[in-house]
Amino acid sequence: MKTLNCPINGPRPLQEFHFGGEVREVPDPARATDAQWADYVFNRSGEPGIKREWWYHVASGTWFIAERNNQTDEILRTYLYGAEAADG
Amino acid sequence: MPDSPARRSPVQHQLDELQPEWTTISGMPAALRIGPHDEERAALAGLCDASCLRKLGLKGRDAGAWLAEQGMTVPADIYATASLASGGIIARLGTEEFLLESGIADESVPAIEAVPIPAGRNLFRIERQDATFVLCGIRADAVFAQTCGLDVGKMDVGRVVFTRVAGVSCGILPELFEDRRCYRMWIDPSYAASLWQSLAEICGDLGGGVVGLQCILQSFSGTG
Repeated sequence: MKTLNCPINGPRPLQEFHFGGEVREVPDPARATDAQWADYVFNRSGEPGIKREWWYHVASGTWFIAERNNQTDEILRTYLYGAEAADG
Repeated sequence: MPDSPARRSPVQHQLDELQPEWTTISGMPAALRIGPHDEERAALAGLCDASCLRKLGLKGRDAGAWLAEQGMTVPADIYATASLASGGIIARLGTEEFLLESGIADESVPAIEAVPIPAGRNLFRIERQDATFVLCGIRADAVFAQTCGLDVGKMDVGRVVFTRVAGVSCGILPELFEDRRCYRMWIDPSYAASLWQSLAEICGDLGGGVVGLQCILQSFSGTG
């Protein structure tokens, strides 16, 4: 059984989570060019490597960030948004 | 059963099919006894609907301090619980979030609901209509073994765990009833009927089944 470590609830089966996509900075809508905005809206990076991703623990309603190697599917660490120093 | 109850359990129609002996608790019809085998079922794997217990959510930076001002013992840790007067409980669900649930004869929640929140406090009441189920009996852990990814039997008594049971998100609170573990579960009412059916079937397979509230009444009245 695959598990993911929720920073609040601890290790849980993957079935308790939803994937929320890669963590991406939103460009300032007032200053971004059309090309920058279109890139944000439509383009995603699929290259293999370590990604920062949003994950959601459904049962407790907890959003958090997981650093995951999307080539090996290895979870390096998880932490709450704004708590990058926390261990996962 | 009263003709026009103020509140209804989300599994009332499923209980109705069992033709239980009804009573009314906190304005909601509650199945007091299902049949003559309630006690035997409860000893093995009993599933009981306790949705009649009143609930209240409180959120905000000042929620903990305000509850303490009302004379309540406020749990310090996330997911810890404490007893209210007369059998109710208070659970800390987050740094700024609490869930209160009354006992059978406990007026704690209505009393708190009646207290006006002072202006300027960061505090909000949250309407909670969760279903409450209680799973009891020596085979209760076996029910979870078939439905939950966690080893529920190893969970600490008195600490809430949020997980999924039979695919439904719920909070589980392990408790002791007559020195035996039982499990209080809080479920979103829209999923309650589905989860009830799954758990009732598994309890039946394990020699138990649906039981009336009388089997566990003592544990919710502050004397168990």
